[in-house]
Amino acid sequence: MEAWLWVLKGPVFRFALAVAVLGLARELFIGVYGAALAYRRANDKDLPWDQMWRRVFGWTLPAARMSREFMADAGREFKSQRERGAGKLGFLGPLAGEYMEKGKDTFKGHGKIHTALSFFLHLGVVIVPLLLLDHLLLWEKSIGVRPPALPQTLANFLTIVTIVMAVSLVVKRIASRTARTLSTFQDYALLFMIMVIFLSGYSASRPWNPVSWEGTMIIHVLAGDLLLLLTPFTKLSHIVLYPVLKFSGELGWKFPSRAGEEVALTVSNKEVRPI
Amino acid sequence: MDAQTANKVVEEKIKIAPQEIERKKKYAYFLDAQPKGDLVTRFLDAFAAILQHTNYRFAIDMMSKVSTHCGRCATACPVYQATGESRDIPCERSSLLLDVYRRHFTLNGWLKAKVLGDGGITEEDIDRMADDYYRCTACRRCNLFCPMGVDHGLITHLARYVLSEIDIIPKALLVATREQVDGKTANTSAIPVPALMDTLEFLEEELMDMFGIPIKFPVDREGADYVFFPAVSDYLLEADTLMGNAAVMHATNGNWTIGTTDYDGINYGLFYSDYILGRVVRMELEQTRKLKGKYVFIGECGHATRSAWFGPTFNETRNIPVINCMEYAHDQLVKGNLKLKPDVVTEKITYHDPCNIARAGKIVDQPREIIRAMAKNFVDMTPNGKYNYCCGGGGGTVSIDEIHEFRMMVAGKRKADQMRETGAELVIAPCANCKKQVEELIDFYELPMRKTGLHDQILRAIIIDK
Repeated sequence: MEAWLWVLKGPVFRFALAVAVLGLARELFIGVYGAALAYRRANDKDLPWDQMWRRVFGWTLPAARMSREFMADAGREFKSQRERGAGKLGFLGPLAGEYMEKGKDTFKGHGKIHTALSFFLHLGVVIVPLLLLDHLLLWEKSIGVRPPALPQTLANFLTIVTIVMAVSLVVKRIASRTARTLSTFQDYALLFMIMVIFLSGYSASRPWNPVSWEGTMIIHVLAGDLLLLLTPFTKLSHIVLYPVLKFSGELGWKFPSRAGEEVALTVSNKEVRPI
Repeated sequence: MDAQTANKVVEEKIKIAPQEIERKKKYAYFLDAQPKGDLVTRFLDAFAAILQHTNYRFAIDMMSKVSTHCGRCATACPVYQATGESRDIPCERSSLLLDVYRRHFTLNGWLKAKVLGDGGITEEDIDRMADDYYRCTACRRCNLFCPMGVDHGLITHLARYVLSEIDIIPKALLVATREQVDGKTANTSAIPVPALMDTLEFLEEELMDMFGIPIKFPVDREGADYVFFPAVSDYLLEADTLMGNAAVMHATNGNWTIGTTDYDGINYGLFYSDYILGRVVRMELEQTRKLKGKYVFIGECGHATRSAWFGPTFNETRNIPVINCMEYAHDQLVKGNLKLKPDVVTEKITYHDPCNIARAGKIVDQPREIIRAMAKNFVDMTPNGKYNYCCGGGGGTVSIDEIHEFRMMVAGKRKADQMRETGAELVIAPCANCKKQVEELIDFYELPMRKTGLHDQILRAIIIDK
């Protein structure tokens, strides 16, 4: 048992980490290089940069984004209400009157719950593995540096939140008809792995855990290694591709000026394509 | 080949398949382009060529890697809201093309297919694509709700482009485009120049009756600032809109003109082919250059405006800015050159945002400010602006009469509900496609309202100094 755990924590983990880091670096390179190439090829270089950046950062904090959209809509409606002379709510207008109604309608059913669940899942998944004291002690052992750790209570709380969020997301995937139709094996498997990792890590040294510490830790480390290994080859690559993605749509709409003719030439050997 | 051998060949043919020839005699059919090779190879060839020469490869490569299948796009899609069929979920629709990309254009996908025994794209898949991608109205509303930034509108456009390269194009769009690009009249409604002149003369007479002063539609005036490209169908259907345009230009001393080489803003290329998109945009630019114009001036039309915004992509030399007539009118209103009577338009009025100009947030507030300047009783739809719902005729579907029922009962249902909820008497739809669709929706659902253009109402309210 001990030996197995050592192998998984040592060489296997290093290998998985190397694959993850190098793989993600490769993805990022492909993304950034592709974006640069696309930008160079585009004849029209006038991109809506502010919109694109706003999207990148806006979606990082979906709560802020949503509230801003509420306020923008509410603000416009409030303005029109005032111009019509119908605004009797004064300062509270955008908050009490149209704001609620407007916000409710515009975003009704547009995945507000999903946004919230997903946000807190990400919070836990990013913060806990990086700043947990036990993980940092391992880092100290191997590279000799130990950054300040997360308070244990907060770490525990975040772990539970993450598990609950992952379970809820699975439930939501099964319960929502659209998500159920779209979901592939990967979508369930990744959430399930996150669940296993967090649950085993949380329960390893608890007195109520029926499985031995080593046994639980083997599950924990094995699942963790596997997730790291899979990172560059699954949708988890959005860890690095996320900002590039927000740019990709706008860049896709820009192309070289003679792209259409080149395509026609390649497909039918005629530059002037018969229509 | 001399006559004798030719005869022999014909005899041979008759010997081999007399029934075939009989059948051809009985049932003549029209075939525009001879299919070369089998469909699957042609599809992949076309796809490969497009990926090679454009920037779509970068975009869909990114999108195919991270698609998260959360289903948020479904909540945004008016078509899915009406049908509830899984094939109308934007993400599901996009996966048709993304799967082909993954399977045939990436190493990962190829390896996976080898392991799982996936034979790749079939003719049924292509049929399904041809069906499903024309169920999307390309309104791009889902793009605003995708956490990963997948632009399903772009994927729909790309899929249609690939299909068009293997000659799968809706007939209505093909016929109109052929007339515009290769035909004599060079516009989608096949209006010849004399008929155009007649129409303009008639409109000028109408304006004379209305205001008592001559308001001109200047034709082929060199050195005009604004070269006008409305949706050409407006000359047949929307006289009031054009008269509104002329009245605004007259009242603001706008130096504008209509060119007789190209007077059509419609560009179906935006819906299915970048090749057509480029050719039509170049025609507009050429006409503007020929008349030494400073602006491409687009009439009330959503997709004409967005396709003209592609100008810098296709313009190798000097860039010619694009201005929509609503932007112009708003600009003049702010400057105080355009004066509107505030008490003429008394009906309860609402405004429909055409997706192509509102989705990027470019033309949202300008028309509203114009409306508020002349109408007291303005009510917005919910949601509106950037988040508006498509009228159901986007992406060229409005021109396809065969799918009228689909447009009414599926794609336009959400819009009809929205319009009913406002309780307005007038719906402003400042877009040729939306106008047609909204009018048909009003007929179909028997809504107690009328459709109109923005400039139709400006025409009622405008103050012209004599």
